Amino acid sequence: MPESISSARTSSPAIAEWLLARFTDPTHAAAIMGDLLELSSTRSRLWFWAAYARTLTTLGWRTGGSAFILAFVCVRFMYGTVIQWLMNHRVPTLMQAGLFGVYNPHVRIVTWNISMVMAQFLCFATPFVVVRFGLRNRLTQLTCALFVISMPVYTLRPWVMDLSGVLTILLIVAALVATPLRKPLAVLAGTCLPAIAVKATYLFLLPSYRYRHIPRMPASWVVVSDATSFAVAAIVCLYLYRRLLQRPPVTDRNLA
Amino acid sequence: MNPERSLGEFEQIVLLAVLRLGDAAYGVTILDEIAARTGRNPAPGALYTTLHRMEDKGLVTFRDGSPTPERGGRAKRFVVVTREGRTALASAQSAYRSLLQGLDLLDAQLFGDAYA
Repeated sequence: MPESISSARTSSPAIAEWLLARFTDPTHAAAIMGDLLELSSTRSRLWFWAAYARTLTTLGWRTGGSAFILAFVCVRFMYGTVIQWLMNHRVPTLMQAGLFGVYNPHVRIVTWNISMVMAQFLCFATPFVVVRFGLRNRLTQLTCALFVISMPVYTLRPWVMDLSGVLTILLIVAALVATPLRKPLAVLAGTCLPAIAVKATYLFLLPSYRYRHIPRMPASWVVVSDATSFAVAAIVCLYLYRRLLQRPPVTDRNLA
Repeated sequence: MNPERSLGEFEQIVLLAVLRLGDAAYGVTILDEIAARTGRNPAPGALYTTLHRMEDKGLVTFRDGSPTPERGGRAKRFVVVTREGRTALASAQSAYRSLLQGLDLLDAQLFGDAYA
């Protein structure tokens, strides 16, 4: 390798390696940089940086931070567009329609309330786990199933709401009974509850006003409260996943 | 089979390349082996992502080598297939073999359409 190219490659990778280590552990990052340097010895400098950029992108895609940002963008889209479309503007606010049954007071509250609370949270949790853990993961599959079942509740049609609520309860019970789904359900529930608690704290303790006896936050607080509660959800989800679902490191006796 | 343990096509290719290379399996040699045997040139990032995913699944583990000058003084990380990795690969391959049985696809490809 020519001296100039060689020195250019080995001096800049210090920062590049540091950046790579943000997305994987430092030992892996050093080995990856070493591999790229070794591969680039027969290729151009441009190839090295292109390969580095692609590696950084593919490794960064599944990190908790990327998953959180993408999930948060999805939430804004879901709340702003999809849910509005499902509701077809039948009621002015979600709170009136959903949690307090103003629009559909005759609908059985137990069944559809669970769907509506689940659906609100799953708007964030579903894209988060899809990006972070991939589609072949049991937690992702369970989350997606609950999301698909609970979202139609926002059509606000009584029979759809009832059906959605019943199916959500049935799926939760099935996940409790089926051993392979029990831990994923525990992770999902453990993720959901602190997020709801944070959101409720914002709603009831911080400055809010009441509209027809319903506590409501100023619009600017909504984004902040969403961001906080979803950040808590993401952190708890990653922690519980590591504790309950991630496999322990491989020891020598597992080697072939 | 456990869906989280089922292997994708690229995972199988990587595991087979690692097994073929034995003690010399690390990023560069795995990429070379895949290119030589399959004609594909996978991106390094795709390989590392797959290796990390398989490490999380317990299918492979890593062993540190010694630093070398052509790598800027960085150590190689050799890949080792675990017992679970071998089991998952054998299971996936036996499924392929079972599906291929009686089709003579490989013979037709090797000896031309006349054979089929």
